[in-house]
Amino acid sequence: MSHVNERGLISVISSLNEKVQAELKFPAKLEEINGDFVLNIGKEHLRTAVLFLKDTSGLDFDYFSFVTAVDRHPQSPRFELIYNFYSTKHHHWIRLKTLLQDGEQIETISDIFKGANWHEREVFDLFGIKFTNHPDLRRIVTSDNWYGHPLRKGYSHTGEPAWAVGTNVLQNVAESGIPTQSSRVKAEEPTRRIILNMGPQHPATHGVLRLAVELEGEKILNCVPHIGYLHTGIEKLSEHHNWTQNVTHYARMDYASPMNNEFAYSLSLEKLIPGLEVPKRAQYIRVMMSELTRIISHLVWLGTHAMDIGAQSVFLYCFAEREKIVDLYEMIGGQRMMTSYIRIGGCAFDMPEDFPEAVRAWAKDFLANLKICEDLLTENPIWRERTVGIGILSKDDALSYGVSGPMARGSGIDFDLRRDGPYSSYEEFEFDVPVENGCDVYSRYLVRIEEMKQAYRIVLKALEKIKETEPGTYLSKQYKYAPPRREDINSSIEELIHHFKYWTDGIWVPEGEAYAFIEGSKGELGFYCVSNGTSHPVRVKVRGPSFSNLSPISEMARGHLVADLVAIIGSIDIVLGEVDR
Amino acid sequence: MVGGRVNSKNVRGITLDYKPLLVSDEDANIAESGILVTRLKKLIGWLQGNSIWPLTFGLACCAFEMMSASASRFDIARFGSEVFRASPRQADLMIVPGRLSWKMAPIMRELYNQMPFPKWVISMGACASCGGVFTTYSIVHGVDHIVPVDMYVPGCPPRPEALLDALIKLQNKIRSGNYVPAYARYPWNKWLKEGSF
Repeated sequence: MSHVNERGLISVISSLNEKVQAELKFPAKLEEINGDFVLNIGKEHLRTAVLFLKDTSGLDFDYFSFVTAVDRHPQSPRFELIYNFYSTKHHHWIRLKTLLQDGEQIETISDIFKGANWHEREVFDLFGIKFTNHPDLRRIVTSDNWYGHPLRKGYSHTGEPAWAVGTNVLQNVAESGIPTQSSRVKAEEPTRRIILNMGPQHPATHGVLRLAVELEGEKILNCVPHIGYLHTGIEKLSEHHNWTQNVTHYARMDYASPMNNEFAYSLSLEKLIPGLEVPKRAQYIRVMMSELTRIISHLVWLGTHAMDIGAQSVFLYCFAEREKIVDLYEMIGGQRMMTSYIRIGGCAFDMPEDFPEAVRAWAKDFLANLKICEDLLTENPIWRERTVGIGILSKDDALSYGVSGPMARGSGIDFDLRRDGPYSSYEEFEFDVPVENGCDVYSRYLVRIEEMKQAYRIVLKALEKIKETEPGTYLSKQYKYAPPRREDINSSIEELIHHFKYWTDGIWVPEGEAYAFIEGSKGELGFYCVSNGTSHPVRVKVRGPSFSNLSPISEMARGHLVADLVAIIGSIDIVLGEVDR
Repeated sequence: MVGGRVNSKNVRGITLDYKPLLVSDEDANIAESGILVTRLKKLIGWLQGNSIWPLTFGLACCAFEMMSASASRFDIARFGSEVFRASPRQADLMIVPGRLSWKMAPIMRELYNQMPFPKWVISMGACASCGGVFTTYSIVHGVDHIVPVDMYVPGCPPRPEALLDALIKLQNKIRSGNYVPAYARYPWNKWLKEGSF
């Protein structure tokens, strides 16, 4: 199933090492940190190194994952910039790292990878690092008149918002309603062009997305997204809560697929903690819950997407089906949505005994119910009229923007991290990866429908596998990193101490850094964690798929009608909680 | 009500429940004869309470539970509130589902200002009520800093039943005819008069 085995990875990396040593004309150090390969370079060589990684055959890092920074205060140089790349051809990862003094600038790579545009803006916004030659370096998640850079150490995580002096917050309404902030939307010569503001309160924007749309008649000439209306400061909050507490707020980030967030975060920590083994049973439970989560996320997408286009009844069918899985959530995790069920080292509780039965009861008519929706849409001439050929995103653009998940697969990229970089025993499961070459809204629709069916397959397979494992092994027994079980607390003083330490102090994670990802319901969902050896993180970067998937919206919308824009937003399947974080 | 007395009448197969409109026991007697005597305030309250139209306004996680409440299983239509209006000009009730950021706050206030009187606000979930787990720089710690709130729903997120419970409680208050909405109470009424709200 898997494209990459360990041997293959090592051979690629050794050749990478040779290439780096032989062809790179400047000092660079390749090291391995917790199973990831990190290339340390000087800041003046950044563009050369990125181009080298992208264009050298055998490396072919064509997919841009993220850019982020770490504030190392009080160390000097203060900032560490991290660029993450992936090769969809060879399925390997690399991180570029460079150090920056406070106040130093660095060259943009947004012309090499278009997706870097938004990520660099985010780094500028949250850290205050300036990128030279960036086409549009504005704040992205905080307001334009915000004061300070929230993710710098020393910026208070709580308290009043830091508006610039003289800002009247509530008077700001009028200005923030007019889309003139963008340098790309300009009212130039007097023409029939108008600028339409769409959102942040609009039923078709799936939350609080705001789009400034430049129109000629009803044709879209340009479309500039404004995000940040749900900026929560989750990454800042992570630094002030301990590692164990943090599980709680990630579920509230991508609230359409809560368990996937917990899953990715736990994986990242398990990578960071050497020797923390997750029992097989917990791995299978995680796989099963992750796939159920994928199904509810896709059901919500299907219901709302169809409702936006005008098929009201699909919404009711999808939510009726979603309720059944939410009940399963409640059964296993005790809550309808935010269960915090998947935790570091395993799961919170064992699967209830009657759970398999409940899953089978759901599975009995899931496909039939899904078919009702399919019958309403797939061959429906109105649906096809509204979706086929709309919102074209070419394969190259998708890679350059770092688009992943069903959107990438709808653009003909055969890229699924469950298969290409298996985690949590995914290599033991058999499933197909649907790929469509239409690059339009309809292709993404087909991909997601097929994914639900594949997820259904995996869920049933996982149930069988769970049956073979020993009941009760839902959590690691390394009690330094996992809560001890009651019977062990009763029998051993050491476990009592661990219990006390775990619930008062949290876990103390060894110094280091790790990046772990999962194929979330929307794409590559990754957590980049940096620890300084204490109970609180130094930095947790969330690589949310929606953020990158949303960035090419202007390319997709250009030339279409306003009504098509609604279909395009629906097909991206954004959750603003994850875009803004 | 008087024990054993029939307070609802079957007219052409439709049961008319005029119970909430009755002011006293004598009214019930008169109502038997087909004439309903009530106070105007009560009648208006009855009409308003039974047709609360919420605003389509989704912020975060709680919006999903709000959508679930409007879908087939919980079916908010049973309480006359299924008509989610995308335009604030047609809405009576603002459900604030989820965390509100300072960047979004002016827009929410604008939406509230655009709603016609009388209007009510339900703060749904811990984040909307007090900031919840997100005690961060960017989140408004309680939407009652921005709009007058009539009803707080606890939970993270609250179950759809909890939202329906809040809605029914609000309806009962409105139906009583004596309910003073939050915007008409101190200090919001003062701010409203001064124009600083």
